[in-house]
Amino acid sequence: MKGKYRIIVQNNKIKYDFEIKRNITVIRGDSATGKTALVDMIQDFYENGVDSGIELQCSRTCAVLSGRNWKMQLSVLHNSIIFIDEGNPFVTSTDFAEEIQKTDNYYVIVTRESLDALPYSVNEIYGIRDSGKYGYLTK
Amino acid sequence: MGMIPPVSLSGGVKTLILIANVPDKIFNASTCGDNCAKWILKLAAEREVTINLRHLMDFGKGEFEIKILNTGQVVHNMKDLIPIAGMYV
Repeated sequence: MKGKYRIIVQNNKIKYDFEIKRNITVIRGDSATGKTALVDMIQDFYENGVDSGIELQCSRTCAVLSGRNWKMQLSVLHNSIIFIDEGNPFVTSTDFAEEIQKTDNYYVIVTRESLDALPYSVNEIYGIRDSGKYGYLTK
Repeated sequence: MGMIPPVSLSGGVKTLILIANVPDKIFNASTCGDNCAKWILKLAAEREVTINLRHLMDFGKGEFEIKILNTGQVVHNMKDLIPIAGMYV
């Protein structure tokens, strides 16, 4: 995958609208700013589609990677934008770094920890800012 | 917002609640953003608090007392904390 991808995901309470530019984007920042809420909405839509009550607009499939079976999950995801919430220890592993090098996905990783094994740009580290019903990524 | 179920609380809030109420455990405070730092310092003003940090948390412009167990050094402000923490996170 190359280029920029705009992602709009919303439910009846909040709408996130942001663009990612590179294969690894990092989201971090203050607690209770909606980082996990964003990932949960992506997950809910991936699992349940429109039945989730969530609307997601993106030219690529958005999915969530989590838990001990992350490799198996990753094996079926191609040309997708993959979100990983904090609390997943595999994200700092060299194993994960090696595996994602073999893929054609983009990754959005929520973490405050250093990702020494991953080649990400300092320009692609964002926090989430919300203004009422709208959430967006900000540097 | 109405009532918030525990699963909907942010990781930072849940960690603060655990730090406050389960004093015999060491929790990973890297689930906490910088907006939790002042609350950690507040809890530590009442009793000794040990946390695990895997990132450089901003404890603010004020003075504090933090012992970095990796080195045994005690620091009192961010200017002293940063160079030591930077070696580990």
